[in-house]
Amino acid sequence: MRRNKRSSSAFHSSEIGKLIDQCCKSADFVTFQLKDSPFFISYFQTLVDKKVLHRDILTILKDKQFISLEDMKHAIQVEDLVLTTELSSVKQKLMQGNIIIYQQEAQPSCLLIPAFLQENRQVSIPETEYSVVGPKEAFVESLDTNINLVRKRIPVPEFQIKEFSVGKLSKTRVAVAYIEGIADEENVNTVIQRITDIGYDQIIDSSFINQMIADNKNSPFPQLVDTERPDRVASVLMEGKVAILVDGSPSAITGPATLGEFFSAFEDYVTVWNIASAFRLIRFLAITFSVLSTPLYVAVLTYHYEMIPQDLLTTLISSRAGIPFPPLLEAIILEWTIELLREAGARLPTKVGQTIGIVGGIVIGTAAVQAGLTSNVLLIVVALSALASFTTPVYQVSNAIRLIRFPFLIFAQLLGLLGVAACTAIVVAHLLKLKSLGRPFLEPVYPIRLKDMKDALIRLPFNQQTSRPLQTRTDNKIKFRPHSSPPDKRDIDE
Amino acid sequence: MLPLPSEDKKVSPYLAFYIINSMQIGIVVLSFERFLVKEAGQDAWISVLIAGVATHIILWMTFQITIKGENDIAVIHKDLFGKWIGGLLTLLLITYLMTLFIMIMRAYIDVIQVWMFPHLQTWYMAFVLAILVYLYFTGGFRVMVGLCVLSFMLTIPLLMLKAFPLKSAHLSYLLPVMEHSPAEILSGAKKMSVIFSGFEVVLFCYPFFKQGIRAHKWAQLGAAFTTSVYLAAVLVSLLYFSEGQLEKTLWPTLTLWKIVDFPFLERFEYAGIAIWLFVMLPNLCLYIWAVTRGLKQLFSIKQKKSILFLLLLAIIASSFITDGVQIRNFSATIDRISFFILFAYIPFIYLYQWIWQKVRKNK
Amino acid sequence: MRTFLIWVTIAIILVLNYNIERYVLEDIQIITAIGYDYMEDDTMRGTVAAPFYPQGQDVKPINASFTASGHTIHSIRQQFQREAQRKLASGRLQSILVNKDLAERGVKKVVDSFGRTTFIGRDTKLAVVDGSTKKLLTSNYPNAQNLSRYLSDLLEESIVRMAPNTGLHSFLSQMEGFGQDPFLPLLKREHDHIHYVGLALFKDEKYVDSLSFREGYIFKMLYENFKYGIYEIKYKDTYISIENLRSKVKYNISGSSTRPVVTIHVSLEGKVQDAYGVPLHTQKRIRKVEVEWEKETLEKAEKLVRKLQDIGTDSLGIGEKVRSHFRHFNKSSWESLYPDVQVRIKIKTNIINTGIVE
Repeated sequence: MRRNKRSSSAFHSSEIGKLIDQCCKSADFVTFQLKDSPFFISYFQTLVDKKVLHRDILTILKDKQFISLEDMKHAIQVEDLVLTTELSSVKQKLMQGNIIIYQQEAQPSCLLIPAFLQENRQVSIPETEYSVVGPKEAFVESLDTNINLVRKRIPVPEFQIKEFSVGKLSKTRVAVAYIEGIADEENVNTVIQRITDIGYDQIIDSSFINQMIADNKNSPFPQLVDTERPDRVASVLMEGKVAILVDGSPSAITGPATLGEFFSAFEDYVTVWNIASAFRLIRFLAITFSVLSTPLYVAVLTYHYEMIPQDLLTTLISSRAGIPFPPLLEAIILEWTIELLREAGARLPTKVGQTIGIVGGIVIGTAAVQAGLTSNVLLIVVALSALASFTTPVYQVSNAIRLIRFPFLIFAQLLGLLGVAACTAIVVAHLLKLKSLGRPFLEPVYPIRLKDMKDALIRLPFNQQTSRPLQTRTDNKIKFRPHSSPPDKRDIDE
Repeated sequence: MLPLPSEDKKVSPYLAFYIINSMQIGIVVLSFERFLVKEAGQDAWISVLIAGVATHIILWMTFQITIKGENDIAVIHKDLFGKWIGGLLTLLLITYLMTLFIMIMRAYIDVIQVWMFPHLQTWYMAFVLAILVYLYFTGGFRVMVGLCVLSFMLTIPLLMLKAFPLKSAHLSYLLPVMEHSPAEILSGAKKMSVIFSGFEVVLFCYPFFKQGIRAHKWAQLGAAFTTSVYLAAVLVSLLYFSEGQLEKTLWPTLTLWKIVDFPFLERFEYAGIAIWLFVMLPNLCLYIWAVTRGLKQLFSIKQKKSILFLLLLAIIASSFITDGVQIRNFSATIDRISFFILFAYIPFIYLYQWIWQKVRKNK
Repeated sequence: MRTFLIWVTIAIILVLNYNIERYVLEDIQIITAIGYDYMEDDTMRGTVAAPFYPQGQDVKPINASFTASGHTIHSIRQQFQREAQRKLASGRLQSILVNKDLAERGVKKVVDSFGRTTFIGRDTKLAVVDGSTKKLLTSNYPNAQNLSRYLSDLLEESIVRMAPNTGLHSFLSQMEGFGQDPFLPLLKREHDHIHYVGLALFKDEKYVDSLSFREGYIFKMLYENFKYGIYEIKYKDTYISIENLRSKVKYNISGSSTRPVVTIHVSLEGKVQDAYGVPLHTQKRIRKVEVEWEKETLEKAEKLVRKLQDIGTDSLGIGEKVRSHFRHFNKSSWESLYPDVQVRIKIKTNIINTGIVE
């Protein structure tokens, strides 16, 4: 007994002992001594799977008497058992839901038994990137599940995962995924370098990483694609890009990205190429319309009434006669109202959100027009441009699109159409300077790469998609060699 | 002497097409027909073709100079004429480019003031343009070349608008062909060749091409495209305006845009002038870029610093030119200098370099 | 932080210093039609129609007009502003009317001013008015709520079917160009309507004579290819009207540059619309109508060309065509040459169908 007491006090002054004592202050930490043996068991009951503890550990320990931890390690049928004396690994594993078994002695060695309780959401349907046809799986908050979702789509050994722990406090697991031999080494190294350089204390979501490793951190445009679709991730990995998955985040980041990629939906690949191309072009047009329509309205109505054709002029004047505000103010008020509706709708549960949408759209809209506060023409323009901004398949970029409209409005008021052109020039300058993981963001428009056009503004059929995008700088450029069949020389009806 | 630019600052040779094209097409496209028709009447289009051919030759010489010198013109000057005289020549050349910068900036502002906003102050618009130029300038040469490409794509649809005036075209205005004497046509071509200037920038940006020799081919293509654009412009104007009218019209292209008539948009000239900003920006950016490069070669002034000074100079200088007549006189002077640079100075350097290299080889 | 401050300063400079004149749509009164009358000596009287939109939702415009007199177009414009409640803007001007008296004394000072300013569109319609433009622009018309709309529709949609297309650009181009003289539609206010009377012919900038509505139609046939309208011919003792389906015209120049011969080939294709009492069931009978049609048209056309040559206006642009045919054509002698130039007209007619009954 005496010996026990001495060793116990020696244990408490050892580093692991101090750790255990520190943890004991927390209410969910459990420490107890096994009956008739010198071993102690400690764990966070909130992190540990009770099933593993009772079925696989306690029953075995009860049946037999062990002399050393080494024996115990052989007897317990759980994978990844570690026997260590190292403080850092004990600390880390304890926080990751391991059960530790140790003796209270001066130099304690600990047996670490993983028994992490996975509280998982089921894999469900993608919500922000929903598609009518095609796969309907979305990432969940568990990194392992997510990697599983991707790896099952790329069953090759070249598919590699590099894992890092990022965040001084959150210790978030961040995985960099790529296919060796297809992805460019330099891209992978850039990503790894930037991730290891992150010094922030908490990484809650992949978007944290996205913002921290972006080439230009002040740009409203996202420079890496943020997606919740494992199929999309798998497909870009096979093109030679790099993906970053973060534990606790239901979305992955892929890069290097181009501006065009933000307008391509995964659905484009499951419909026929000509239809898909048409929809993609519609999306590009929608974005242009969304950015430019209200500024053009303000510019034309403030300075260039000459440009309105006679028939349209009558309609416009009679809808605007009696509106107390100048076009700029009218437009800003309406745009602001739409943003308000969107914010309110996004913060509320779906059902209530819908109601808000209807109330806002119909009631406020009609009332504003009837009260003579806005013109119905502008109401249509603003509503359409808001609608158009939601056509982007990647959510992050639609925010950028809606934001850059406001400087456009100001410029339109200052210099009319010239102001709109000047603001476009500023945006173009910004886009030209942007890079994604050091690769040009506007590719394939600048630098012009005709080969990459096959999957940019339009999507050509699969038999034309023979090479991987040059943007990724992959060494393995050929996707497949098309099967060339001899031309059919028979006549019609032969 | 500066080290040659590093590989990641260089651009692919095919981009020479866009650089040459967007440098040659500028504010003059809106107004060049008038000078031409005064000289060559309805045969003006022949003058355009002749000037186009002359441009190809001078462009060839320009590339030969830089290919042989394997660096930009400042270094070549120094090699050929020594530090002092060479330096002086470079200084004169960049002064010329800077004057061009101020001139086209002022000319564009003039178009805006006449056609859109008579009340717009010159310094205000010059300030806005300077900011835009600065934004592109800080992106470096690659970004400016990107602007050339994008402006090419944005403005190429404007060519389609030429279809509208063709509806009321009179074919008889073009006939009979060769009514004017060869001397008149040549003097028209002389006017025109000045309009094709802009490719002098190659003297400075040549080291920025990966495989400069291949860039030459693309540059020639760019020049050919420019010729066809000017040819289309002059043909449409000749068909649409009667001769007496065209001689009086200051900006025929803008007048032509007046009749563009879409169901949702009329009077296209307002939109056209705004879109023309994208034609002006590559011009402005590359001219001032060449000037800053030259200054850096001569006096090792950082481009970051010199650009601010030069832009300020341009704003002040352009607001001193107050009326249309002054602008036209100024641009006429510049035209004479341009003609001298293109057809005397460049061939001279070419021949001198050729002889110089022969002599050196014989030693 | 420093960059941020610099950008804020720039933004403040830009926002505080802009002073472009704004033309906010609802704060301006848009001039849609303008008319000039001759007063005395150098004085003109201008009348503008500028519909006024009162406050409210879905309002209908009120016809508003202002009248003032002065020496130049722009001094008159400033006078209008003395009466108007809003800033007058002329950018959407649709039609410019000139009174016949003024037209006789030359319209250059009116047209030149409109050709010089950048606000005016190039396809603005011009017309000459027999009588006072003030009266025409200030009257009420029962068939149209909006006067200026009525006027511009009449000029753009209606008259084009009977008279050659004219506008500010074509007028300027004919006036400045060699070997062609401008012409404009001639309007008159009659029985609460605006009436298209015929074509007003100009010699350079001065009005000299007019063509009647029917002559105007023949003129159009000789002037350009077109495909509207009705020809009425007298056949035996009844009248037949033939709808014009396609009319093509071609000029051939022969002879020498001092004695040019102009041949005008016209080919007409038509469809019989009214033929009461004329059986048309055989090829031969149709042929007869064709011959009659040809004969009558030829007669009218020759008379018209003769008339033009007599008054010395080259409205058909024969001079331009002759010039483009001969190299180094002596332009100065054309003026004296024109009245005696030999003009031959060849007409080919073809009746394609006769409707759905025999």
